Amino acid sequence: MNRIKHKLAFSFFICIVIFMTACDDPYTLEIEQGTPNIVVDGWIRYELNNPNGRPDTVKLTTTDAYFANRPAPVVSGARVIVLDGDGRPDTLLEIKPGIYITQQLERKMESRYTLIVQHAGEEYRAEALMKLMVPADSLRAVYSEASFFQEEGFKIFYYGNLPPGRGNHYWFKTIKNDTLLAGPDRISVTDDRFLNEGGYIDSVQIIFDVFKEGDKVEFEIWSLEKPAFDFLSQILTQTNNGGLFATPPANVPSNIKNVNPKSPKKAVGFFGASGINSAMVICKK
Amino acid sequence: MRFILITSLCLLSHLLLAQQKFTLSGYVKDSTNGEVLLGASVYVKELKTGVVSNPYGYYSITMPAGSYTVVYNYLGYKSQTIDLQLSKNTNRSISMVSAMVEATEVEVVGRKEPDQVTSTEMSVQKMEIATIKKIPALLGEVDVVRAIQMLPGVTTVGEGATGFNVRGGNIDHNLILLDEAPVYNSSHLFGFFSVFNPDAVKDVKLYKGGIPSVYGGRLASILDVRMKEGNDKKFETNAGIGTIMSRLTVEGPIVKNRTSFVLTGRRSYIDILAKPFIRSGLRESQFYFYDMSGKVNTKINDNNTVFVSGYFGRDVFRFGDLFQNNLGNATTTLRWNHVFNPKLFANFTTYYSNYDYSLGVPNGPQQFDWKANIINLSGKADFTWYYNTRNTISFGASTIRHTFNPGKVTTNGNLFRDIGLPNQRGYEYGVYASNEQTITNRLIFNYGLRFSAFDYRGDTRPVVTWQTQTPAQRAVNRGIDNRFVGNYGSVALYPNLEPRFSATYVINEGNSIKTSYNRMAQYLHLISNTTAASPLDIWVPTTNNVKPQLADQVALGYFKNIGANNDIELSAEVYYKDMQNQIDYIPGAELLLNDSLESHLLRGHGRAYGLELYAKKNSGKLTGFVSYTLSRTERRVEGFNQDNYFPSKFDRPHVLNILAMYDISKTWSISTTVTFQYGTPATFPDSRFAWQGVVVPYITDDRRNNFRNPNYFRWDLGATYKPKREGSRFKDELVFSVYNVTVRRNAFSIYTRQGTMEGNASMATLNTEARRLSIIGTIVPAISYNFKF
Repeated sequence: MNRIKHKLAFSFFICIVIFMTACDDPYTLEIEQGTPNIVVDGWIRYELNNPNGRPDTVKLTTTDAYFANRPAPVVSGARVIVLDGDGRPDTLLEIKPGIYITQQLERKMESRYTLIVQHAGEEYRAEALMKLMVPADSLRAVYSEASFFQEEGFKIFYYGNLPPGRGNHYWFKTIKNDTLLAGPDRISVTDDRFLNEGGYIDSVQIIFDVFKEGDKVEFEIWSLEKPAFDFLSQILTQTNNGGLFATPPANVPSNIKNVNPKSPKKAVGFFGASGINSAMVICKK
Repeated sequence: MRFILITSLCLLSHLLLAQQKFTLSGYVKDSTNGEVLLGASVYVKELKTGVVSNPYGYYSITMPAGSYTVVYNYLGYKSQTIDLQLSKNTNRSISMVSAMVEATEVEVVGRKEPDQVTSTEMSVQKMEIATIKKIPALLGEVDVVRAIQMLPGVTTVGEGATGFNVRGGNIDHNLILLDEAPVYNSSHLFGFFSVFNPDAVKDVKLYKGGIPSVYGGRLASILDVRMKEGNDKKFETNAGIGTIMSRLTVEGPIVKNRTSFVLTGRRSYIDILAKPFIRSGLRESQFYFYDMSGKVNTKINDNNTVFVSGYFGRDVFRFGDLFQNNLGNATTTLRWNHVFNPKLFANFTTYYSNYDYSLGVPNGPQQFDWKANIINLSGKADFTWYYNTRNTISFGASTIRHTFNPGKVTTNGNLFRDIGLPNQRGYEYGVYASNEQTITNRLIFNYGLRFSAFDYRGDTRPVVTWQTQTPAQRAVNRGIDNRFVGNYGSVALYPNLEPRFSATYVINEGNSIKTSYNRMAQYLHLISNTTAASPLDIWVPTTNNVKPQLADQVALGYFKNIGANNDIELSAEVYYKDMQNQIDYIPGAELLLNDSLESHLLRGHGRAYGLELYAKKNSGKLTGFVSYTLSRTERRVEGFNQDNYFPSKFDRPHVLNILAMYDISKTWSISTTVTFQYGTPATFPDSRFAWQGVVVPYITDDRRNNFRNPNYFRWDLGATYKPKREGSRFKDELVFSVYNVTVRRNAFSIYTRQGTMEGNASMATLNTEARRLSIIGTIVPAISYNFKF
């Protein structure tokens, strides 16, 4: 749905470009910051080739003034525990200030993980279900000439089966030459509401970047449960929210709850779990 | 009940006192083209009373036998006086001569009567199409909706946004009628231009308050746009070549003085100009809009006139095989005016209205085609009974069948599947009666009652009732009741009584005070959660979950005429409006193709109040108006802003508009407008957090509209050159306009975003910035050429 909105915004953009009347420039605003809250950024991953290989990370920071333009203040010295599907705890190790890694957590598909964060007298909890991974087939890099919409280079097309059933949600991540393409405009999530059930995704361009000869492009497909999909969709909405068809800015709801609902201290961010599959291609003519 | 009783008593008392009385009736028309003049005044000197011609130009006045002097007046026309010996029912149709036709410098144009002081209407704004055409226009395109936005009490969320907001109402709170058929999207190109072709428009009237009981179905206003009937004396062609589009209007008699037609069309041509520059891969691209309308009327005899009119307009965008979007309105109206007897005038209307859009990917693996529409089919009958000089009674009934298609997607089955939401259906009914009663020559009441009802019909699926929503309940929304009503079974029926009242007290010839109260009920809702409404927004009916919106408005006004010939109109009005069941949305609401859409809607309460000042100069070399509005529009929605009132998105506390037009000579005239609008409210994040390399905005305490966008200021200039064409039927003009003379970058909005960032998702410095978006951030000069013969 977001894509539809972007296309609409795009056609509007074309209109005003044709009239050459629109402009968009930096603007200075004074905004007073509200009270800081704890921010949780953690994900439990199950990778097909390497299920229990890499440790997972939970990052703890706090909210900061909107125009702070500095790294987020870290939350150090917290007690961070992840319980696996059978309730076995793994206490995370703080390897750098604010960065906590798992030590012996066992990843299993369809397991429900619980995150517990204890800090400054408050306790926060979140739950995440690790969904089945999506079978990825292959990627193809196709060279194309420059056009009105894109410069010359390789476009990446995706092929793969859709899993049976409905209610599946996906998050696509692109890794170019071993570096994740990050940022709000790189978030690509979709659900299967509009997709053919059990169909085959035949040559669909999911990322609109153009790549150069010799680039290694890796595609990761993260399976998501509905709350994670909603969270990411709303992040996408709230971070690409300018223009005529902007929606009212609103907070992205978090799945992390303070166990004491009466406490004024709230947590933001998200704790999730995903099965991950990937495909890779090297751009060659 | 009491209303009917009082009315009957009043009428009875008149019957008892009745002496021999006769009726003077007929039509008021333009002498050159036979167009009927609506709102022309017919004044009887001896009785110091009069009537106004109705929307079809008909008037009727019943008086005791005797000799009278009757004066006919219409703004811009020479006054006409007839001496009349009334001894039987008399039919007298009047052809009025336009002051323009034989304009000499010293011509004294008949005083406009009844003027705003003695008129029983308040909160009503009439805009002459001649004035609208003189306003310096964006890209030279004369625009009815943009002209409306200069009037007191009317605002917009910003440049390029569709529609307009009246006294704190949403854009869907305006009923826009084109020849009595509703128009659901009044814009081309997302809001840059309105769908009304100025060459075909005859009259524009906006009701902001004191809304007569004949109208219903919307909370804030009625914009009544009437198309020309067509010249019934000779053929005439009007055409214009503009920067963006070209227009052509042809009108003329089919049977002289009896049957006439008007056909008009416009089309944009930027796509044709751009064609050579579009690359081969996008040859399939389309980018244009057009509209066409036509009307035929035939006067069967003095008592019967039939009108058929239609409008069809579309916006078409297509970018190769990547994306297409196609939308537009279509309306058809069939009307029959029937004079039962000189005192009883009736109009029967049936119309069909369809607004639809489609969008999709035309070809390839991601092909899909998505269509949505809203269709209305309506029949109505409106009667005016000119009972006597002191009582004019209006009554009537209407029914509308609404069919909503919220969206259906068809695909080639490649990647996407066919998906669709079932149609929603409902019936809207209205019955009304009102009386305009002259109590004394100084005091006039207009009281009426409208009874409206909406009947939401179901289908074979279960009817789901959602539990009351708060913003935080998104995750737990669920149906709490399922029941079956069967196909076309009634799911929910909402009756509403809508009292309407206004009173005019004429202090003396140049001063009056007026007051009004009206209740309005609205059963259709535009589901739109964006700053400017998008053409893809859908309309939904009132259902078991979505309650009718209700508004109560009171207004008080002071009206004064000054100057030689009383040609300067001054008015001051205050209003207060209370709005129930306003629609709001949970954060992240999915509004399109969502089968549980109603669980994403919230109900809020709105209030609006303000002061409107207006000064208008009607005649002389210098004409124009100044309007200033001081107002406040607020909303309260449980769960937002800690349950407190917050300014709604179109709250603009100060708005000042100035229009001045000056005739330098017979060949040159100039005009200018100045617009100042206080900034619209906006929500800005005060905090942020970093998550997976993304900076996410965060608003402490879920505040809403906690900031103001910068103020809006614009100055435009226009000039018209009309070369002398002695003795020729051919007349032409060159219109120059300069939009935004001061090259001010007015902000449509200020928004925040994450700056460009290279590298990976580690905790690097993440820059955020505020951006100012200007839709028209530069000076826009334009020339257009108009001619007629």
